[in-house]
Amino acid sequence: MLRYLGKRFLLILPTIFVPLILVFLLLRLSPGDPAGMMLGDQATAEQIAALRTQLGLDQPIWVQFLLWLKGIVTLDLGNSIFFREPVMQIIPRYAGVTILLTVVALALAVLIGVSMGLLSAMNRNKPIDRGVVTTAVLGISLPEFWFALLLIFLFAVTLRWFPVAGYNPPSAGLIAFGATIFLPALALGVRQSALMTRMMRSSMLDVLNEPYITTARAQGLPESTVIGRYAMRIAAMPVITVAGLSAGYMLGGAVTIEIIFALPGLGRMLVEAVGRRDYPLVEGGVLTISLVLAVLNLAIDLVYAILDPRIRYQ
Amino acid sequence: MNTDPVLSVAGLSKSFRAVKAVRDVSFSIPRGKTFGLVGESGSGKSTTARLVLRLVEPTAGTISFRGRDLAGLSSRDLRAERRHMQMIFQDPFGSLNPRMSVRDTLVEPQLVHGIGTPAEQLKTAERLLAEVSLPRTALDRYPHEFSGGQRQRIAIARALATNPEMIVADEPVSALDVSVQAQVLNLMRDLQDRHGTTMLFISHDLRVVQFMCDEIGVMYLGEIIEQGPRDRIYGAPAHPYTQALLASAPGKAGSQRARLKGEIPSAHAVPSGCAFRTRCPHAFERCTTEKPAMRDIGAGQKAACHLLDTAVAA
Amino acid sequence: MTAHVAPLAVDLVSPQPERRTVLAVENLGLSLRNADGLLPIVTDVSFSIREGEAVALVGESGCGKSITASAIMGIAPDNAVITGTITLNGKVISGLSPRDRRRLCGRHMGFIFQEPMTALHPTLSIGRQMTDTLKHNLGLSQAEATNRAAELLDRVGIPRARDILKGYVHELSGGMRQRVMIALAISCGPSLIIADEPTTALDVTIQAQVLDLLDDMRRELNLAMLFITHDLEVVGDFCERAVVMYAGDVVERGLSDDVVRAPAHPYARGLIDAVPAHDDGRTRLTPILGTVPPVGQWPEGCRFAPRCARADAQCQTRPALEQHGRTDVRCWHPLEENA
Repeated sequence: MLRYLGKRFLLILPTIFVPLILVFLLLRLSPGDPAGMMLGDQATAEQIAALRTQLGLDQPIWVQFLLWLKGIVTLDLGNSIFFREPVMQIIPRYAGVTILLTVVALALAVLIGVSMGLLSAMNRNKPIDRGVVTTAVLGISLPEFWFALLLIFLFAVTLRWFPVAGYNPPSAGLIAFGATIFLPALALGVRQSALMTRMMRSSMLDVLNEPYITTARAQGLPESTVIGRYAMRIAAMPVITVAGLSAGYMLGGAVTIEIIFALPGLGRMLVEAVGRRDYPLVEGGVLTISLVLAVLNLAIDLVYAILDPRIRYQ
Repeated sequence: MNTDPVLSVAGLSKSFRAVKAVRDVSFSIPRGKTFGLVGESGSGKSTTARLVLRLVEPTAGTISFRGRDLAGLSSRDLRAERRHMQMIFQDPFGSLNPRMSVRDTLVEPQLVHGIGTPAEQLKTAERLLAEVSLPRTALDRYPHEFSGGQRQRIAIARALATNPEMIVADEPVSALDVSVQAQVLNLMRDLQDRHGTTMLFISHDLRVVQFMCDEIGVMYLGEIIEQGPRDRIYGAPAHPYTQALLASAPGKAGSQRARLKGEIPSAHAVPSGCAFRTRCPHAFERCTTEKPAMRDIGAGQKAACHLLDTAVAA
Repeated sequence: MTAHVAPLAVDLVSPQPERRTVLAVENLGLSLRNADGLLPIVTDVSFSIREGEAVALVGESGCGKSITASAIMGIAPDNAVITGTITLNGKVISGLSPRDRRRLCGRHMGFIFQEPMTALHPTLSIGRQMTDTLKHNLGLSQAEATNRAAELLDRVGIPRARDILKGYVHELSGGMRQRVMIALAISCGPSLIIADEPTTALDVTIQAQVLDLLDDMRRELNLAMLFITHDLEVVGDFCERAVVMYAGDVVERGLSDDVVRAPAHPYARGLIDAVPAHDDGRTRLTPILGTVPPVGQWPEGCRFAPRCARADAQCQTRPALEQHGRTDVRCWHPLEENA
């Protein structure tokens, strides 16, 4: 088991570093100059040059890269060019929101996906199955932003059950927090839940045909145990994979949702920072997302190994 | 008429990393005769079949086919030799390409080896179908339209397409029902008589091997532990494993049954000395320390067992 | 055919205490309901099994033997329509819904599958699978169930039972897995065991061990056993009585010695002739010409007639199962005993 996790951990390192290197290079090699942007149109060439030297932007690119690597190791991600604050202080403010949003969205997606998929599989080809499958296909085809706007229109504007936009952190109380996170999480999660419904359904249908399910039934075990323990253990595996991928998608794709619902999240922060060529902030943001994804995938690998002992010994 | 054996293998071995699948196998097959390899799981009989055709590269040993050493041939020469050796597999569903019509299946080997004009190839295909008692209308049909037994006939027809000198049949009837088995076995005997084909026949079913083969090699954990003419092996088996194998077969009721204890050891951990000693009812000290050599018992029968030594010496 | 000592020859001579009938199947019919109507799979199957008795259900693929067993256990497909009567331990169970019939499994009926690798759950420990059924059917506590599971594994000849309980299917050899299946099947003390080709997938030497084990269990626990197989020689060795099926019909029924040694039905005779025998010097086998008619394409009248050398006009009407000599046969022209 330890060897398995160890191997998985080693594989994480490229997962984190490759995107970082790519982002680093793409940013610094692309047109647009942060110093120029900060000082505005009226700035003189000398002023821009002076700021560039001050920010260390006149060094050759590989020197900048090495300096930055050193920074990561010492946990000093530099200062945001725009905010003039350490990146390490800025990021957590925004990251928290995005992570919460992703967690709630994932939870909703899994809840809806697994239950609908199960319902569908147990009633194969009956009307309810066809209903669920059709809904799932619609769900996959929906763009999130369109669905978000629809939700706002229905539930916030017309029914006034939820605020239209804005964010209350959990410290403001569970209900207040929930009111601002629910619609965004739903909008973000619905497409993923449709994917999970389909995966759960097909996975469960496959498993139900397996001989070990017949054996379990032949032991007189109640159907709830047969489905809940014997079938789910195997059928859940592909769904967990989809959940992992969904989480990745949600972390990165939360941008539109954050903008529509005016949530102060990492996605929004990143988009603005790229526009400003705020290199350290962008790199810090990407590093955070990569790390979260890496940890998440490690957790999923752990869950696999717990659920399927055959994997542990590979 | 060439009286040399068509196939002669000596010291044939194959190891897959730590697993010694085939260890020092030697036998030869005279022209027009059938040699049977019998054994249970892990005996190495299927691997031996593939080694003989050089579908798998041997780790050691020589394969002499039609007087030439197969192991030493270049890939081009090997390909040319392949037309003289063909194979029939166990799975009638998997061994035929589902996307090729019967005509294509029968013509392809001729095409590959450049035999005949298209008109001649088609004529050969028709003749082959007639030989395996399938109607001419089968030419345009696809494998899924046939039953298991019929597919096996098509596979046999395909094997005969290049008029090979030798056919290797790996469990050709194991997947078939009893009544269909009988039809296919009869067919194979008829064809062999008519074409004088030499055959290497692999099976775990002792009854089938007794029917089909002139000479038999009994394999256990990668080695041939007894070998000889059919009537001797079945009538007077010398090796304890062969005796147990024959006694275990259903149809020998009552007190005749001698039960072997224990499981077949894994190929990863072959017992020292005589590989069979862990299950042999007559094992004694020497069996652990010294590997028995193949001893001639007379009438063309050979077996590797220390007991024979004492019997001869006594 | 080699003659062998009939294990129960003594029963025919001396009187025997009455053995209770555990399973009685009368006129069982099973059809599948599909878009075109009802497709018959099995028709008019009748047989009974007494305690301590092994009855073989013999036939080739597609004859309906496995689905008959699944009907008895309540695990037939959802669209199956079952007619006839099934009685278990004196109680009629065919009237129950399949779900209720399934509830009797484990406690009253045990099942052994052909392929133990796929028939046991791959990622739940052996111990878990055994204790689940023990706890549910017998109401044992976790500790009691674990102990009993270890005892059972021991009884079926698995060494280091406690370690195996913590292990998984893929760690065991074929023979071991089948022993686990047997332990699982007998764990809750059922009176009937249905074994569907339990040794077909095993090596010959292991097959022999497992068959011996099944035999021992049958004697020790006085089990009624329904043994489904295609191998007539296994039937002759281990089963007291045999029921031969062809295309959904019972074609012959009787003591296995009689059915296997000198069958009256041409199909059964054909099966015996088709198997390469041990010591006759035939250079050719005698196959049964033609193939089994697929479900839905059964001929009117006797279903074996198209392949039978003895068929005539009378065979256009379906024969009834009647006693002829020592066995019950469904045939207008059964073979004579000395044929």
